This record gives sequence, C-alpha cells and structure tokens, in this order.
Amino acid sequence: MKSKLAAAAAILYFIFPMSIVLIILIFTPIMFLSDVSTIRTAGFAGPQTGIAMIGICGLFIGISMLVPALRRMYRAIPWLYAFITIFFINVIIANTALMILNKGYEVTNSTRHTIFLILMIVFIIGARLAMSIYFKKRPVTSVEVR
Amino acid sequence: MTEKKKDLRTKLEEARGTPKSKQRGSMGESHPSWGEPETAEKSIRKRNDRPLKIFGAICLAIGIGTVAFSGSTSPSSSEAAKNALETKVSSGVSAGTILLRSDENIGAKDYTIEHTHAGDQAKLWIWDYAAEDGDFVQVIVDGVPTSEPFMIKHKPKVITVPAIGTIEVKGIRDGGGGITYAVRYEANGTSYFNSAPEGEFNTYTLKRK
Repeated sequence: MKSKLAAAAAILYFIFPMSIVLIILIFTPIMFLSDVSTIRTAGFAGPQTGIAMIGICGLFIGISMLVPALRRMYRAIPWLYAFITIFFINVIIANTALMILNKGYEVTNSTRHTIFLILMIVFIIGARLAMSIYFKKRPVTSVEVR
Repeated sequence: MTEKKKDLRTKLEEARGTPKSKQRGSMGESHPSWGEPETAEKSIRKRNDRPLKIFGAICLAIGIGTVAFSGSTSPSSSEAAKNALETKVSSGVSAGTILLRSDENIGAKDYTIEHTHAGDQAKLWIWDYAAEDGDFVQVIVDGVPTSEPFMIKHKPKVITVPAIGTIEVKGIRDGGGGITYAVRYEANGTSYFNSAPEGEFNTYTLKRK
C-alpha cells in the first residue's frame, strides 16, 4: 500500500510539475539565440526572467531527487537523471549568459554593448568547456547503469 | 521477485565472487525475511541514490538561493506610499519605494521645485516605482544629457545635478504599460512619481527660494 502511494506520488509529481520543468529545460537553450537576437536588434535590455526560471527548476528538481518516494521516477526512467543534470546546467549557463548581455544593454552605448557581448561569448565558451571537462572526468550515467 | 531485484542480486554475487547458494551454507536458499539480500539491495540502491541526493541538494540550494535573492519587490503598503500614489508627490517615502506591481499610466506632469538647499549641486535619485520591465529614460540638465539613456530599475540610480536649473527626464523606451519613474531631489527631499511617453520630456525647474 505504502509502495503504491509512493509510486502514485512519483507519477503525479512527474506529470506536474516535472513535465513543465522538462519543457523549460528543453526550450531555454533553444530560445537562447532568439533572445540574444531580440536584445541585439532592439538595442535595449529585456526583463530579467532567467533567475526566476533557474530558481523554479532548481526547487522542483531538488525536491524530486531528495524525497525518496519521488526518486522512484529516476529508476523508472533511467535516462532522466542524466538528462536533467546536463540540461539544468545548460539552462544555468544560458540564463547567466543572457543576464550578462542584459547588463550590457541596460545603458544605450555601443562600446558597452560590444564589450558585454564578448563577455557573454567568453562566458559561454568557458562554462561549456568546464562542463565538458567535468563530465569527461565524472561521466553522468543513467541511474540503472551505476 | 521482479527481474530488477534478481539483476541486483546477481550483480552483488558477481561482486563478491561467490554464488548466493554457497553463502548460505547447506541450506542454500534465500528468504527475504533473512534480511541479507534486502540489506544488499538497499546498499546498492543507497549507493545509486547518492549522486541524486547530492545533485538534488545542490539544485534545492540554487532554487532557494535564487528565489530568496532574486530581488522581487512588492509594492509598499505604508500610508505614505498610498498618499504618494494619490498625490504623485511625497516627502515621506524614501528613494526606491515601489508603489505599483505593474505599470499604469498616471499622466505626465512638469514641476517647479523651490528649495533652500545651500550647495551648488545636489543628488537626484531616479527609479522605476512600478514593474521593472525595461523602461529606459535619459536625464538632461539644462539641455545637456548627463549620461546615455539607461534602464530604470527598482534600485535607484544616483545622479548629481545643479541645485538651480532645468532637469528634463526624457522617455526613451517603454518596456510595456508606459514609462513609469520616480525622481527624488536631495534639494527639497521630495519624491515625484511621474510618467514620460516615449520621446517626450517631463521638466523639473529647480529654483532657490
């Protein structure tokens, strides 16, 4: 009975909110280039939603991995842990990069815009390299394989 | 017993190098109530769950940290703030006071400010008193811009201006719902809640009494 309740809780949690989190994790990196293009075309910083997005995703992912009953979803879907780990880090990198660009576009000055665009590119390359090196040393595997 | 459990047991036996039947002596049978297979299974599961727990704790810390420090500010509910919203002028609220959750067009107005400030220069604080939605303004002193157009935020930006002269706040870009800003003059310690349409000015004429 207890096991069934735990399974039901895991299924419900996967349907909501985890499915929303997964959509955010998939679409944020896809939307990144379009967001950069919008800022560069308009010449103005946009509203900062990146921090809230990271916060919401972090909260729900954290709960799903720390509550034993909800952790069942990672055993039921073995690729989920690897997917969430890599994509959550991707979302953090993409949103931080956007925050850097937004910071530059808070003042209308072309030199400042260029400097912050370069900073953003350097940050993305550095962060992606660090992520690659880390995962090469400590590969992220599915839960079942470990 | 499920296939998964069988698989875990096989893995454990392989790791030990002895088949389960030999571990249990002549009887050679396993029984869940004996505890050992269950404990082994638990230890494997515990080992498998460890990275999840660590990453989960990191995610939760990031989540709580970003939510706590995201700087989301709610409108002030003080009596002075309510009065300021009605009169659009207040000396009772501090720089950076938020009056509205979303932008509302409260109408543009010019002011003549008479003060007794002794110095030649005085500070001016400018901030977005409604939604921080990407409104841009430019401050112009006696026809000369003090800086490039900038985004107004809830955190006030400080600019030093002459104590006597004409200050114009030009609306550069509307982030949505109108360019809502507040400006506080050190010269008279008063805040003015105003809105400037894109490309238009609000003028503040500073005079000494």
